[in-house]
Parts: sequence; structure tokens; C-alpha cells
Amino acid sequence: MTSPSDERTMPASTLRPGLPSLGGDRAMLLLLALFALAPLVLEAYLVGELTRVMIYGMAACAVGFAIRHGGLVSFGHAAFFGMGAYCVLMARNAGYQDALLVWPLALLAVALLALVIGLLSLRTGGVAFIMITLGFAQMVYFVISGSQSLGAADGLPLFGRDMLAGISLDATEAFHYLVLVALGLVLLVMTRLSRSPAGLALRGIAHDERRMKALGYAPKRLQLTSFVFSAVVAGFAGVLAANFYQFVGPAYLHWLVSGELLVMVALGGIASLSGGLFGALILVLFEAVFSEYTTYWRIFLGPAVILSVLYLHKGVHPALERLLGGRDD
Amino acid sequence: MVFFLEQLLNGLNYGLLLFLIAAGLSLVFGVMHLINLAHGSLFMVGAFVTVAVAGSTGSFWLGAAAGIVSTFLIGLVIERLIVSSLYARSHLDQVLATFGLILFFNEFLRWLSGGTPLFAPTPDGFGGAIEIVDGFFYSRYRLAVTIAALTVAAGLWFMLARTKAGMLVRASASDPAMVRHIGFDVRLVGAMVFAVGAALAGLAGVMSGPLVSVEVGMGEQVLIIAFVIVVVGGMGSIKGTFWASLAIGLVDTLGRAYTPVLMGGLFEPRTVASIAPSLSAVLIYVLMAAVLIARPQGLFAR
Repeated sequence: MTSPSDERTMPASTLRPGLPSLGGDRAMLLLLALFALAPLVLEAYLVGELTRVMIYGMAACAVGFAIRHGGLVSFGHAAFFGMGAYCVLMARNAGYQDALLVWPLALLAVALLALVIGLLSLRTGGVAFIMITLGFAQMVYFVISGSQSLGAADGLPLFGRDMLAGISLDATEAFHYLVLVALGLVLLVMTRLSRSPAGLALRGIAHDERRMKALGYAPKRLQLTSFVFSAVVAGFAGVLAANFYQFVGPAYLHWLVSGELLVMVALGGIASLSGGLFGALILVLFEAVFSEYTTYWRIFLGPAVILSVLYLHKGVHPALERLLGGRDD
Repeated sequence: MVFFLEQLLNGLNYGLLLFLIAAGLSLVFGVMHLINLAHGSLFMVGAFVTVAVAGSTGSFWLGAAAGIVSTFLIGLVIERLIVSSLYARSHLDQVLATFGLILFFNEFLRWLSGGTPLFAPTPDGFGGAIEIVDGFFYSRYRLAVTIAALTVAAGLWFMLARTKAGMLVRASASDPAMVRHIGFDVRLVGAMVFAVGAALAGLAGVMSGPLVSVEVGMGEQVLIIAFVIVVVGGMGSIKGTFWASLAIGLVDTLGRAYTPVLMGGLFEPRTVASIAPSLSAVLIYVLMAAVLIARPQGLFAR
């Protein structure tokens, strides 16, 4: 991202002057309210689907955050998502089931992994970053899926969710609300970060790294911070996903996950903090609708992704926000 | 010694096949600044078409011709319909749209093939082994593939370095506006580069058919390795891509062959059997990390 021709790494529309705030994002508040009300009216299966939307949405928001704040297009977030999930499995293998102990340690492990991958990947910029993150994620996939004690290529079941301070999370509703609270906290932290001086500098870096360097910022260090934060959030989503499915396997680490997270960001709207959440909802709905007709529903997803990239590259969230009379940010 | 020679030739064979794939990726990036995730899909399509046509006609050579021609045409269609509108877009858009192509190709072939791995027959006259030096036998088909890939690589070099068409490609890479102003159609150059790159990946798929199992997902395995090659060799440098392909092919093959042997002296057989496969799978990524530390722009970057 050092030559002028590479400026196209970021679309200019990503950098509107308006700052995101939780209260200002009406579409997101509406969606969160929907998540909160869901267990009261919907049957358990559908509640589970919405829990899934929140978990993948959290990971997708993390991917979007790194793109907006630092211009970092990561095709390797499956590694962090999967690492979070496998930490839950490793803790279980060692006999630990207490969320307050296991989850922070899992996030720490993800942060360390992201620090190493980030340090290496950030040595060059632009397109190479996409390829390198994909490469290292594949390496993590091979290491973990080759480990017999972690279930190798088949994965392992968890037999029950982690305990949160003695409270069982095995009930669908209890876990749904826990994920909702976690998502709310993550979105709050993301909002605060994106409005912080470092967050603003990172937005500048996404737009024009050289100019920010000339202004005296240290782009690489800020980008690394953004990357590690984004990875930790994706890892948290992985921790929640492992508990949701009560199963951990190599599918978490598969490069398809990295791609689908990017698709969610794009479908929802890359300029919006909560875009990934809407993208996750669209993808889950898409799967629900088209898998009615065929198990090969991705035949339709591929062209849909291509068309949306070519013709509506702003995503769904800005349109929704305009519809609800909020600010188009 | 015989084991080493065999692994060396296997590594060379694998590296040259990787070069056919990575070359298209590198050329398309060099000329159009496009990152094409669907490049591996063309490798897969090449292999599938060969298996299907060879299976129904009984002739490997008809299958091979069909594999190369179909990937060239598919490349041309994709370029005109989708990829050409992505040149001016962000790399993120390019990644997303070509990821959409992967989803389509994978699922379409999974639907057609039913998801079971297929096996291509070795062409007539290329079965069995040939004695290269006294007491050293090597697969006749692998040797033929090595020679064919080497010939194609040399042809590609000759075309790029010595012909007018190659000059046009190089000129389009460094200054497309000037090429346009002196009266050449840069869009046509782009389309041809993309289609030839697709056919090269298809050719690699054709030749890999009898060597590996032909299945959905084979494209992405080589795509990711091709990315590693492009990073190691240096973005847009075809020379770098060539040497990096050979290096990755050799490191991967020799690593898989010798990691269990080297570990055998240090650990119990059971530990070796469980750790060695994933350890040797990791070697090429360790090589990428080392290159990123020592020379982040790639070994042969200008």
C-alpha cells in the first residue's frame, strides 16, 4: 500500500466523515431488539439459528473492523475463529469447564497467535497481506487437524457447554442471551475504539498510509493493534461457536470460513460497524431458503456474491439505515 | 541414494506443475493487478474435464485436449463477463467476486460428480517405470510430465522475452496507457493473458489427473500453495515465480519424505507417525515466514 496505484485497496466510500455510535445505528438497535425478543416468540430451533447469526456476525464485524481500521483485508480469520474454538476443547481435555477461567485464556492464546501472524504478514502491504494471512491460516489448519489429541480430521464433541460462574449455559435461551450480551459488549467496545484517536488514525491509514506516515503516525504498529483486536473478537466468536455446537472440528479452521466472513462483511455493508451482523443474517437466511430446494445451495450463493460485488457494493446496512431515517454511515 | 533421486525428481515434478499454476496467477497480477482466487478452480476444471472426456471416449489425449481448450474458453468467458469489471475495483472486491466463482465451480462440480473422488487413467504407453540409470527406475508418466512442464515453462519464457506478443504483455504491465496510445488494444491483451493463464492452470490439472485424486477442493489446495509461491518469489516477477515454485516443490516433497526419517532417530515411532505429517505440511509456510523476515518483498522482486 505504498504506491499510489494501490490506493484502490480501499474504496473511498468507506471513509465517510461521520463517526459510528451505538445509539445512532438504528438498524442495528432494531436487530438487537429482535434478537432479544426472539426466545419469547420463536421455537427453539429458530432461536438457535439466530444465536448462530449473532456468533458469525460477531466474527464478521471483527473482519470488517480490520478492513475499515487499517485497510487490512484478512483472508485468514478462520485461524483465529478456530483457535478460539479449539482452546475450549483443549481446556475441556484438561478438565476445565469454567468460562471465567477458560475464555480469557482462550482469547490470550488467540492474541498471541494473531501477534505472530500479524507481525509476519504486515512486513509487506496490499495484496500480499491477503495471500499471506490465507497461507498462515492454512498452516494452523494443518497443525491442528493433524493432532490426534484434538480429534484430528474428525473433531471431537464437547458434551455440554462451559459453566459461567456456576450457571449452566446448556439451555437454548440462556445461551442465546449470553451471546446477545457478549455481542452487545463487543459492539460497544468496537464503537469506542473506532471513535478513539487510534481508531481515527487507523481509518486514515486505511485511506492513505503514506500520508498518515508523513503526519507522524506509525502505521505498522497501529495496524498490528487493529489486527490483534480483530483476531481476538473473531476468537471470542469461535469460543462461543464451540459452545453453541458443542463440537469442535477442523471445519472451524477451513479457509471457506475466512471467505464467508468476508462475504458477510460485503453483503452487510463494509462501511458500517454492524455490517457484518446483517451479512450474517442474510447468509443464514439465504442458506435457509435455498437449502429447501437443493443441498448444493452454494451454486446460487456464488453468483449472488458476484452480482452483489458488481452491482450493490455498498451492502444492505446503509440502505436499511436510510429507510429507518438514521444517518447513512 | 535411489530414494533421494526419486524424491528429487518428484519434487521437481511437483514444483514444475505448481509453476504452471502460479505463472498464470503472477502474470494476471503483473498485467492487470488482479488477485484471482478462482485460478485454482480452473486447475480443478481441467482435471475434471479430462477425466470425463477420457472416460467417455477412452482416449487420454482427447481428454487432455478438451481440458486445455475448455479452461481457455472458460477463462475467456469469465474475463469478459466478470473479471474485466474488477480491474478498477479494490482488491477486496476482486477477492469477493472470485471467491463467489470458487463457490460456484466447487458446488457445480460436486453436484455433477456426486462428491466422490475420481481417478484419471495413465495414458497408453506411459504406464510403468523406466530405468534412468543403472538400477534406478522412475515412473514413466511422471518423467513425461516433468519434461512437458519444463517445455511449456521454456516456451512461456521465450514468448514473454523474445516475441512481439510477449513484448506487448510486458509493456501492458508497466505502462498500459502508453500501450493504448500507440494503438494496441490493452483489453485484448488482458483477456488473452487471463485466458492463457487459465489454460496453463487447466494444463496442470490435465497432467495432475493421473497423479492425484480428482476431487472438489483440489483447486484451493494448489491455489493457497501458489499464493505462497507468489509471496516467496516476489509479486509479479515471473522469474521469481519459477524459482520459488521449484523451491516450494522440493521443500514440500523432500520434507514429507525425510521428516519421518530424521525424526525417527529422536522420537518413538508412534510419536513420529502422529506428528511427522503435519510437521512436513507446515514446512513451506515456515519457508514463507523466513522469506518475509529476511526479504519481505520476495526473493526476486524488482
